[in-house]
Amino acid sequence: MTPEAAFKFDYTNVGEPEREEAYQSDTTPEIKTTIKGVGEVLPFRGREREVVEKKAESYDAAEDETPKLSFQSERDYIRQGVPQLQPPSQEFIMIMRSHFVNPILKSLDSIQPLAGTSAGAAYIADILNNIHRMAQRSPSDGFIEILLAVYDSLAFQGQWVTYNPEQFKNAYAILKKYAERPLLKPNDVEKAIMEIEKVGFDTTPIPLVIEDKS
Amino acid sequence: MTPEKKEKYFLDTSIVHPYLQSSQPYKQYLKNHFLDNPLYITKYVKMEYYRGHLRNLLDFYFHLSMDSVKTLGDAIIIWNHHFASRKNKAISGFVANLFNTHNLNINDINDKSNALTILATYIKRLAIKLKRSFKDVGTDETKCARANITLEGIAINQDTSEIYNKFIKEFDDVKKCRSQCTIDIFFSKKYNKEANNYIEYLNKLDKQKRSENIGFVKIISGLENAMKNGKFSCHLCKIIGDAVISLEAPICMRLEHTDHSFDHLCTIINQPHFKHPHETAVIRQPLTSP
Repeated sequence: MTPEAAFKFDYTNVGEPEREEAYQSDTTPEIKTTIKGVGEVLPFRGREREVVEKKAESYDAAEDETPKLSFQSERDYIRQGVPQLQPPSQEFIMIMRSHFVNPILKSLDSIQPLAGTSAGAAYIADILNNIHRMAQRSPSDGFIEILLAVYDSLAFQGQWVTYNPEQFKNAYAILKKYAERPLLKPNDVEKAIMEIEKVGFDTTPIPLVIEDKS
Repeated sequence: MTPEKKEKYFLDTSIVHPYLQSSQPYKQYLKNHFLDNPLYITKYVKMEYYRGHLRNLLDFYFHLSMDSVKTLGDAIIIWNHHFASRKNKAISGFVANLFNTHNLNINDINDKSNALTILATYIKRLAIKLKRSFKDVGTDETKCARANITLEGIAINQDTSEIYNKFIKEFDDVKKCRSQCTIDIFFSKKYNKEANNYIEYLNKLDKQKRSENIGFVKIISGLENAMKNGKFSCHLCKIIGDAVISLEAPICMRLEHTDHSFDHLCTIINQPHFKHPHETAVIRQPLTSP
């Protein structure tokens, strides 16, 4: 890859094979260092841009000793010093999903012949654990809302025992379908939850019983 | 008992709530009753669910979010100590169940933020189910402004706490909401004849203090006063809501409810209706049966 090509590298393609090639290139040491540094925080693409921008700022400052604040909006200036949470990149979300959702799907598949029996407990425990772990590690992924709906429908008072193989099979298909969609909009999440409901999973199983006054 | 197929049901809030948030036996009872028939509500019923249930859950959410409340256990104890109403006790029982399901330690200070997330997600899910489980009849006769303030379409990366806070402030701005609705026209013009029939029926009703009549008496007395002095408010709607729902119910649908008041309200206007046993009665039934 030529130096020009490395400079023109499209940073939005983080994680693509070409990117790896750019890392390897020693023709653009400065850029390479920057990207390497960012590479450690690969999941948060926003930080990568931030580092590149900061480099540009420092270059400007070296050119002209007058402190330049014009590049900042008033809002950014006010927020200086306040740590900003960057939304996770699409790649990070998909990596987390593949890490946690695949075992969940595998368990949902394995439990089908064991539905309604005590032998299914190990698979359900595995599903619930993975949902909680994913909720901790990837809380910004809309898919977690779908998984939490599944969690409540399975975990509350051992409700998982009441579901049959067909229901687990359908739940598997729904989760798989939505897990493959990188960007889940609120509408997608709503649809997924209602599809799970339609399968017969009660996603709001916890009763709120208010005694009859009469 | 089993309804005919393709019958259309119009649900009162007293059925919408257990449809979404009751115990499994009662949910099963409702499921067996409605089968796969379409269930209808109006925006006004939706508003009543928000006002009577989701709004209360949000109260607990913000109570828990306070810095002075260190753990889930503290939150529940303080809540029960200060808010002793039946509804508030039910809410603390509900959240205790929710946190237990998620294996949260009520004495662990670190579990508080997880609890907030889980409660927020659950509230959001209830709003989703309310939106998508029922069809709207398509008429909005009171033009209730509160009914347009909802918790729909919240993305995961949005600040839930901020959105909930904004919702509460807008929902509680009853002065503004009242200025936008037409509840006065609803009773004084559109359904004036029916409202007067209700009042007339009340005046002739014997044994007004009997438990099955108390609700109706309260509703129509409130309505009569409001019609006399022209003072309608969101607070009044908490009292006269059943009268609004009975009048909004399409005549081609059967109004499903658990309240005694509808026995009178629907009979007077010839609205088909069906009173279901209350949840506690259905739960107790197996125990009392031989």
